[in-house]
Amino acid sequence: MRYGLTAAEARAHLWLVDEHGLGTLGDPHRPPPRPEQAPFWRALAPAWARQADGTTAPLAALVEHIRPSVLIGVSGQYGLFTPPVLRAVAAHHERPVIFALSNPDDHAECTALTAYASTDGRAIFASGGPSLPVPVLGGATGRAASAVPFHYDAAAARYPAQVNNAFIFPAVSRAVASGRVHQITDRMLLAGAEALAALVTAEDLAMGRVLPPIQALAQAIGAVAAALIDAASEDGPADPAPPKFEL
Amino acid sequence: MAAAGHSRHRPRQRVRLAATLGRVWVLLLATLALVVVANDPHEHWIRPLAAAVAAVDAALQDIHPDTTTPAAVEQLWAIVHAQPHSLAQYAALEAVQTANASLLDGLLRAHAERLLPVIYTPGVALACQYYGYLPRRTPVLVVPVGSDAAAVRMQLSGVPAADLRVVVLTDGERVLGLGDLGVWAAPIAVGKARLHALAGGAPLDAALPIVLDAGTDNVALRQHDLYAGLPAPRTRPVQDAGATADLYTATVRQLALALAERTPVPLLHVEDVGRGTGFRLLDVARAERWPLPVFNDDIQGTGAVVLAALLAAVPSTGRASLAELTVLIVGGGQAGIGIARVRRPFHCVLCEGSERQVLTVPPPLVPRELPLRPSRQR
Repeated sequence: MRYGLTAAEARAHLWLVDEHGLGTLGDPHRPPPRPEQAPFWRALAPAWARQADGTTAPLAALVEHIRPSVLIGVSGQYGLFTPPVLRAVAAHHERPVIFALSNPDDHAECTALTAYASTDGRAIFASGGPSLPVPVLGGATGRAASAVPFHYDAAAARYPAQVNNAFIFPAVSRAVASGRVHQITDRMLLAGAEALAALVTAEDLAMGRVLPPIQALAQAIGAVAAALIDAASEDGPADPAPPKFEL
Repeated sequence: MAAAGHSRHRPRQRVRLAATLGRVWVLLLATLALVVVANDPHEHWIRPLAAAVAAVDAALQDIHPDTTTPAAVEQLWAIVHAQPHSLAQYAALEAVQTANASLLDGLLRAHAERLLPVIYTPGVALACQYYGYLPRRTPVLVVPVGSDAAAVRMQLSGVPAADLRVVVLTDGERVLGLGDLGVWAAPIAVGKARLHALAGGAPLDAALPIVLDAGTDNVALRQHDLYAGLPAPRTRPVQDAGATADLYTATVRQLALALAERTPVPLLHVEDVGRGTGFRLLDVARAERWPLPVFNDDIQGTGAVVLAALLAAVPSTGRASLAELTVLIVGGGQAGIGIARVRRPFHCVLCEGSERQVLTVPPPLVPRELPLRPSRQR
């Protein structure tokens, strides 16, 4: 167990919420999951996931029960991560991870400033589109007293990462162009992700970003593409069986 | 006396009050007019587009069509940079592209950092919303849903690139957070194609944007004077319908087969299609063993990049590994499931022996345990 978790344990650490509320099977208040969602839906619908009238409990309440250390927004809902939600995450974790990934900006779940201000600057924040640097009092890595928009100290500022697919897809086409990749497997994506994470320096982390700066995109793509090609060769050659489809 | 003084004073006060009120009114009206002009999409967004293109045209008159000297690049950068907003900058870039594609290549590479937000997120969202109003547009292959093999081959035969590396295909159903934009989603495919080339170290024409015109459910857009796509409700893949009834999948399949005949075989990158469509195309391509690699950026690309960011963040959280983090994903669409999917093999596939045994035992948490998908059972 390279990462120290069984499949069931891995799932126990993963919760999904969509527009109908917490993703659970056998919940009379929500439609059944689509095929791709089913593997990640939980079996039991906890009582706290619904209010008395059957509507979904507010996100802050769900967070209060789940106590996630990582909150990822891919909802396209602007402002979904309100200060109460962010405070609820930060209440149980010293360095909560907040990724508000929907873009463009006017669809983002929260801004960098809200994330830092609602967590005493403790959040490890990243956005989907480009984020402006956020000035923070109290140093770039330590616990900050507050985030104020009118004080700017470049050394103490945070430069949130742009968690953007642009770090991956150009590497995929580059790997395919090498002639040694014939299908895109999850194992390859995993290797690509590990290669990308390995490029993040201590300096990057100190500046508050969990991916290389977008200026280093071309170098990052080279490293990710190499990892994809290596993983593809581990996967072995493409399936020799003939394609099966009707024309 | 006092009464007389009073009566003299009162009208003067009234006059002063009226004058003040008048001034306030003028100020209010002026502000209102300003706000109206600033918020009028036509005034603010569309009017500067023609001027942007005209400025590029004027500059290009002095530049030979095949020139890409640094001086020419800088001259055009100055024009693009001077535009009032990102949409006008986009329009200027499109004018450069249609007149002198290699000059655009030089321009994008020289000023990648400033131009990425224009051709890619967030600027590309504006380009989609105002696509019909752009005076010039990069030529994009539009494949109508229902095209047969011969029609698709005919369209692709006009593609000049000797070594095509990747095709970016979208049907415009879920564009960023904007929803259904039909064929107006073309800038999404164009932008991703440009990024494939710029970041992947290839010429711009190594990446081909294609829009699959499957109609649109955006009624306002369908009835728009400038909308050039099929004015019909959207066609989507149909599960278990047979090869002929599922027009959508059949069209993509024909496209994939025609692309796979090229040497080298390009990547088929699927982008911003509907929720069900994205998963369906991946499943069909895998089940039918399409002879080219298929990649869904919203599912697989997002999954991989989020996992990378999580892995990098682990040391800062003070935890030993990702295994100790509890993840809450908000959003059950392609991105949400994509993250969950890439995270799942992270814990399961790579683990050795003991993990395999765990998988054969019905786990207590989820009654319907899905086994590893066929591609990973090696």
